[in-house]
Amino acid sequence: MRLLIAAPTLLLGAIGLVAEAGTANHVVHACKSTSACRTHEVFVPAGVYVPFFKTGTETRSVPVDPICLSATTVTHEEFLGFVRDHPAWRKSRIKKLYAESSYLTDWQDDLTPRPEILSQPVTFVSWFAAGAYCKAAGGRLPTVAEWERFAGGSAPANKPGATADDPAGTGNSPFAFAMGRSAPELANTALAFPGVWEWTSNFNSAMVSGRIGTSAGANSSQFCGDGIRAVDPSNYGAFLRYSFRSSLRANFALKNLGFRCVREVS
Amino acid sequence: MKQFVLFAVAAFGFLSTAQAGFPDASAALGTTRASAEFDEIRGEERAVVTSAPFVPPPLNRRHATKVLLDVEVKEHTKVLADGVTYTYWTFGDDAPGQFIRVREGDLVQTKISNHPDNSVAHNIDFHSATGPGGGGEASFVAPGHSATFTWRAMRAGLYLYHCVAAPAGLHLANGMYGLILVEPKQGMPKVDKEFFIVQGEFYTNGAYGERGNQQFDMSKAVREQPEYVVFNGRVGALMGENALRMKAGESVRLYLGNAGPALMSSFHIVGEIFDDVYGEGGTKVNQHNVQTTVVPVGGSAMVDFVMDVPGAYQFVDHSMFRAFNKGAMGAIEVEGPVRPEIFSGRQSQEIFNPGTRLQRVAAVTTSAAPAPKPAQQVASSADSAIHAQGKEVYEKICTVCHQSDGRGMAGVFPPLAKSDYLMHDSERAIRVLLEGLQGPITVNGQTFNGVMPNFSLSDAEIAAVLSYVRTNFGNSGAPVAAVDVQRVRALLAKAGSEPKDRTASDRR
Repeated sequence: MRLLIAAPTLLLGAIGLVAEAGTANHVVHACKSTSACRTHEVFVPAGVYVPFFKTGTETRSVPVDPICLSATTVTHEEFLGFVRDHPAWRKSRIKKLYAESSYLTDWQDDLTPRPEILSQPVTFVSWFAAGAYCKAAGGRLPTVAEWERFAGGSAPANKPGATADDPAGTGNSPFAFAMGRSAPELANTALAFPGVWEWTSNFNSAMVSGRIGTSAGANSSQFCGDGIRAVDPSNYGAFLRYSFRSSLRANFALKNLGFRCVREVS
Repeated sequence: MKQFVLFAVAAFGFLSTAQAGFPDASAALGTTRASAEFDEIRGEERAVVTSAPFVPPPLNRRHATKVLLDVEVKEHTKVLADGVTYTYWTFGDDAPGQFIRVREGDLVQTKISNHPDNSVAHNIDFHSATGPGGGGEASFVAPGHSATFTWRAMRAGLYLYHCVAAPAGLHLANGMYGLILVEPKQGMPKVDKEFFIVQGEFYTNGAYGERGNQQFDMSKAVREQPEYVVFNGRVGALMGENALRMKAGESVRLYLGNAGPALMSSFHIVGEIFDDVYGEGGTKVNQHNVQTTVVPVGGSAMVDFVMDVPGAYQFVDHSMFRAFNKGAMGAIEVEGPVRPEIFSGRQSQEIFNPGTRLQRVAAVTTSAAPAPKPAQQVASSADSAIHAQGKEVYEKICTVCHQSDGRGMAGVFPPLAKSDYLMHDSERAIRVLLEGLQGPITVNGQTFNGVMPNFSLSDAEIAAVLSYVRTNFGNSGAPVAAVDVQRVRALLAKAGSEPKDRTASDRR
């Protein structure tokens, strides 16, 4: 019965996704320099991402292409511009499939974020809405590999919580460091992490199970939350991120979850 | 194409939640399996829960039922020790979470709610549940969401529950644990009073007692070297006003848990022997007459005892540096008539100077005699020598309890810093050092009820250390001279011998 209900809607969701997946896979090899990026963007040169979880016993490296990255997360004000131009994403009109009821819950109505939060990161946005915003802006959400590459410079010497080492001073949570820390080579750029989690395009591709120790099961590629499979089991920032991502569904709209976009270098 | 598959999974995943609830799941648990295999589930009721250290009353229920249990996860800043705060992650309001009492055979429908303000995903693993992850995966939930799952309480016993979201050690070290008792069908043997105590560790970046808001320290956690080892979530949670209270002759059961996440506990009540121990929290009394019982990390134990002799007692993790330097200490107050046939209390005290007694007394006398008022007459160089000696004695003996800054430990060890008790009466202070001190005192408006031993110091040492504490730690009082100590010592010796004579004459 569940399948019957799910199948058509699944298709519907997937159609929109194919288009997104297409752009995401389109690798551009042209000009790979900072000049390609806009003023509010940071150029991230090509690099290598080592996935947090091993495949079998292998530690792989994934090459990551250069990208132009928004220096910070999308603000309420910017998102307001988007919903002005794209009424389908206003809170009264958004398809229930694309966002749960908490979508933009701190907005008074379709076009009125509270004035005091205009310049703050927009949150209570679903993965669908975030992706649509980025697409309209000529970009897309970063992949986990891209995000971890530019922002997973994570724990100061793998010492989560040692705020003395946290020059970013990100937010109230003692675990704000897990929400992003510039890769060392981007330390002198405008790259900023305002203390919210961020959507990634394939957020649920590397699952941390809700429990340690379940990876012995058949589905170990999906549930690999145990420390043994982690490349660096003392990187608690990464554990927190992967754990958080794996608790998400694409329609979730949460208080502490925002996003930023990337554009492929052209 | 590969990405398409991923996205399809994402979309499907959220849809299955959207349809969620699996409305007949718990019903299936309740009825589909052969009723011969499981007790019939009759009716439903809200779970009976209580905050530490109290335990819900026995269920006295003769049938299995469906128990509805709501657990809310909160991340909030709380007091860890005097002047020290920490951002706890908790089930309900506190670490430990509430004590849950169900009956063997019950179905427990558990709804876990992760507050929208929380920063990370959480879940709950019941050691009492039989199934993957104890519910870890089934209950794994993002901030602003709830998840429900149902499990059958197949086995009676005392169990830990805790959050096991990755990284699990961090969730435990932040306070996400509690105890659940699955009563055997016939119930637990009746006792007069029940309490629960959960031991847990905190890995703060600052050293023990360092004031201000503390952060989790990863490297200390990996080395398994907590700054705090505490009972019921904070230093002093079971001290002073919060001590466990009972009457002599009452039967008492303690439900003990150890959340760790690193250190085994050796639970011991100083001055009491457990009559019965349900080892590792199982349903069988496996030992009588136990001085110290082990409470494994991620495990439990139950101990039954009857306090016979009234007074103030302490319980500790007998890994004693944890008790003295990391907070693993609590108190029991027992009311009742004195029982001299079991325990006399101190009957007498004499000076014991093996062998050299006469020479030593003579030496003290001769050195003291030529200087009848040394307090007024010592030169400044002598002053600093006394100060150095006092400091040395303080650091060797007193810092263990009163701490190097003289502040003591709230509810446990009274402060010497700016202490009205210390400064009010220098003769009383001398007496305390000569005889030790036991029983309730009030210091700066706070009540302490502990024991300070008699350290057998010399007159000069007592004078030096008292002079030191009375002129340091924000105190400004007159120094104490060795002759003053000598005088009080003589008075006490005389007083100590009098009652003994009287007792002797009474007997005649």
